[in-house]
Amino acid sequence: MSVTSASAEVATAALAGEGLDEHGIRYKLLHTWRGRFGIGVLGLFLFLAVFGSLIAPDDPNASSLDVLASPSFAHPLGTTEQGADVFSQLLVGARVSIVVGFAAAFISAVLGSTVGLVGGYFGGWTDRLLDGLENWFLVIPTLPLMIVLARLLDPSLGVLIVVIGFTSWAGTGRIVRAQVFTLRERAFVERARALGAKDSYIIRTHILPNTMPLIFANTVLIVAVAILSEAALAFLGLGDPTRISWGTMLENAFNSGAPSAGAWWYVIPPGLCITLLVLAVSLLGYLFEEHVNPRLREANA
Amino acid sequence: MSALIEVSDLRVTYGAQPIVDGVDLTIERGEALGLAGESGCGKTTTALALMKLLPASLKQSGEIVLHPPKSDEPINVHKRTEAGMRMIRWRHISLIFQGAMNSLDPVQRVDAQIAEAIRLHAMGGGSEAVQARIDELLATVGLTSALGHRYPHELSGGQRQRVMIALALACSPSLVIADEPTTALDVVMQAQVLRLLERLREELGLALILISHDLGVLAETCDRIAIMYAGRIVESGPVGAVFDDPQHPYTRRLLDSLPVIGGERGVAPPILGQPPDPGDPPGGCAFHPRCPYAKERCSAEQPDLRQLAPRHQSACHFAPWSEWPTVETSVVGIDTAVAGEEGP
Amino acid sequence: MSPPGSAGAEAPLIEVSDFEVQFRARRKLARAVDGVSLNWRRGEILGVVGESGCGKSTLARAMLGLQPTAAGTLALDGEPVEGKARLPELRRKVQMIFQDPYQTLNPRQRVRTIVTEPLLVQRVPAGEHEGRVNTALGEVGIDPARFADRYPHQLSGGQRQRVAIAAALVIEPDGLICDEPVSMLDTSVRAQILNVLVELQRSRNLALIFITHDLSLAWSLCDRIAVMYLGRVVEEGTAVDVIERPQHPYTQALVTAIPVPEAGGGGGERELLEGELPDATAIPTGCRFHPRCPRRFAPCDSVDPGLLPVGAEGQTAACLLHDPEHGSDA
Repeated sequence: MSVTSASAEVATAALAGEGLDEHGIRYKLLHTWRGRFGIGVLGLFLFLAVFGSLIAPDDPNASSLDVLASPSFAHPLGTTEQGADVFSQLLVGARVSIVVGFAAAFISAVLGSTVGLVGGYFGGWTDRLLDGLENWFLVIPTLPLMIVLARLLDPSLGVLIVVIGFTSWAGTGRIVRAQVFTLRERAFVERARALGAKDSYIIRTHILPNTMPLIFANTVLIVAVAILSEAALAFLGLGDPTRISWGTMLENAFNSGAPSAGAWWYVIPPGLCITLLVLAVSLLGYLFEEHVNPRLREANA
Repeated sequence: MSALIEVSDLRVTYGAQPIVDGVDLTIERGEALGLAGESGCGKTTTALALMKLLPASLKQSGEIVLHPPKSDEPINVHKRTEAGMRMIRWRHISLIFQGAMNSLDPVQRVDAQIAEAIRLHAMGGGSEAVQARIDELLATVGLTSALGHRYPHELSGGQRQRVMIALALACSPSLVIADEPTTALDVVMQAQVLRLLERLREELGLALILISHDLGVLAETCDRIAIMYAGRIVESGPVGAVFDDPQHPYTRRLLDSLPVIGGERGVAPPILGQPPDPGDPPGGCAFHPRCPYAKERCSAEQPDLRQLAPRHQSACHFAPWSEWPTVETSVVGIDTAVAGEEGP
Repeated sequence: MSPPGSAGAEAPLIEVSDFEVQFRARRKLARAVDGVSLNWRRGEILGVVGESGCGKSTLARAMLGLQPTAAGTLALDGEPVEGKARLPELRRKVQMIFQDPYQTLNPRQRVRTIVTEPLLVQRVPAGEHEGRVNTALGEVGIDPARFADRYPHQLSGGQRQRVAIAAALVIEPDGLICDEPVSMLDTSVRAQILNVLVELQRSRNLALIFITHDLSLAWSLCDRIAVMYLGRVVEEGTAVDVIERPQHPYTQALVTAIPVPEAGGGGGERELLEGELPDATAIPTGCRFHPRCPRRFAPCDSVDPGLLPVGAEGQTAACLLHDPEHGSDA
């Protein structure tokens, strides 16, 4: 920001009314339709993830003779091919999507940030190696890779989380690396070096905290990707067979011929839930990203 | 000499906040006016307002009347619509933006960009005429046609700034506004660009508004100077008068803080505090919190810009100043104001 | 480079000899610092002036060990600093202030943390921290009670620069290298920061290096000035001698190009330089200034002049005009 930039004058005036970040992000979350939708829907599904099994009217695994029945008072969303209550399954299925989504995104964030931080800060051969690794993961089509890995390992929730996390880190890594490149040239980092601070200290106190907003925004988007990935893998039969998830619901629905039987109550609700959750998370993710980026642009100017 | 442009009571606001707070300017044909001030004083906003280039969030009011040299019809710029402004911009008034030398299109050759400017403002003629004009413009700013055929990144900072000047001259305007044209250049290149501007003024009879925070640059090139603070002009007059005999405490203290080689060495006593936040101007005279000569009246009443000598004006309650009392200030200057107040 | 007959009893705080710093720019070698020798004495304000690209900032960073050198030696208080051995001592004794106040503080740290950090890194006992932080802030004119818990975005440019100075001072260095400390500040704020620096220099007998492209500023503040061009010192001497009676054509051109804030500007007699500053990868042969020099003559494109005594006592310039072998004393 130079002393006499025209934009500084106008921007000062423009920002004076808006106030600073915290106020900005709160406003964006609570007063825009994107923010409200995102928080509302996500909140709902988080609630279900925790309490779904408690509020479900029937045991989602209970089978009955009432197979593929259309919605009724007893079964608001009808029954599955096993005679289980679709509605209960739907409520319980939220847990898997949320857990896998967030856990996988967390792993991806940790992996991506570490690679990005280390490569970006140290540069040289370390960076070339890590960057090459990153490129490899970026280029490989993720879904086929996930399918291959999931096939090789025994299907379970943990495996699913690891597989998804392991294949989605490269995007974060790339972004973090770019940010670290800029940060390490900043005067406050040079000052720390001029004091004789150790690299680990500098990364911990100076580089990482200034990269966190970026990592956070990016990770939220990864959550959306992870949820979709879980649904896809489950749909393909690679999910955890002991757990009900929306993906497995779809898998079972298709395998039992529900679409051709006209059992829309079995197919549409899980698909809709996946869509809504991913939409909510994505909207929030873009909101955060937008919020972080103009600040980054200004800080980098 | 007749007036080229007359600006009356120009105001620019962002919501309720004044950014330009009642500016009057008159520029004669061929005259160079310097607009001086620090960040937030409104000088760039004033320049943009003259060409109605402000973003929609800023509201502009006041009269801007242009008297083009070749016609008797005055143009009421302030009344023009956006479509109407296209006939004025570049053809009557052009603007060299701050940092403009970095805003040339990196993937277009320089001469192509000049050609585009010529065509955009409906001055054309066939491609031969345009090419001749381009060569003429480049020569005027001291660049060869060969350099014109290069890409911006192949030229130095000084050369790019000359390209910006050529672009500004493309449609033969009578007034050029240059916003900090030499800030990013080193001293030698700066001197070259200033010399170029002077030559252009002589050869083409151009009027110039030169905006800068560097008083030395303005002293070199301008006939008159207007010092802005918090959106208003606080002093204006011929360069000689203002520099030799400043009539506003702000001007006086600014001049004191500038070292002049051959004079007294050492650091001058500083002006305390910092330039006011456009969103939160002080009451009364905007400079009073920082003014070592402030009295009670200064915090209560905003001074008007008053005529002191034929063309020398000052907005200070106690002007004219024939001598300046010595100022005792704490050398280190504990900062009392906090920028950007925020809740805990 | 010490002036002959000086009371050179005390070793300079830092003495660099034949410093060279090189960068790889694609396939080419950029000689950012190409053989610089300087003395920086205790308590002295040394100005390093030159245009952007002359290597002054690189030189400063190399002096602090932030930039590896390709050649040359550095002596701290008379004893050489080699490898990593005396680096901690160097860093304790010399600190740096940077140009951009908006980038010099970690936006996520409060003022108190920023000023405490040097004490942590240098392992000063925790009990002393609060006292020293408050003292340092007070010395730069920042009221700890009001500002210590603020974040950088709540401070103005001038205030941020003061915090940066406090952070440099808190470990009580003997020298401060200031790289364009005020060029990005508003004009009315510059004098404040300069006052702070000058007052600190006086009260603590700090040695200062003042890096700037603003010759008037260097003239008004510094004891001695070294003028750099394309990686070399081309003129050196007292501030008054170098700026008021420059002996090197480059210095002369710089000085006459300065616009003066006086009526008429003081323009007039001006010998403007031709051409552009060459790239550090393509340094001209012989005297590196010769392609642009208005006073070049025969040997200038083949002979590379060292710093030769000129003009006043203690003043040197790298110009063949002053070399009795090649040119007359102009």
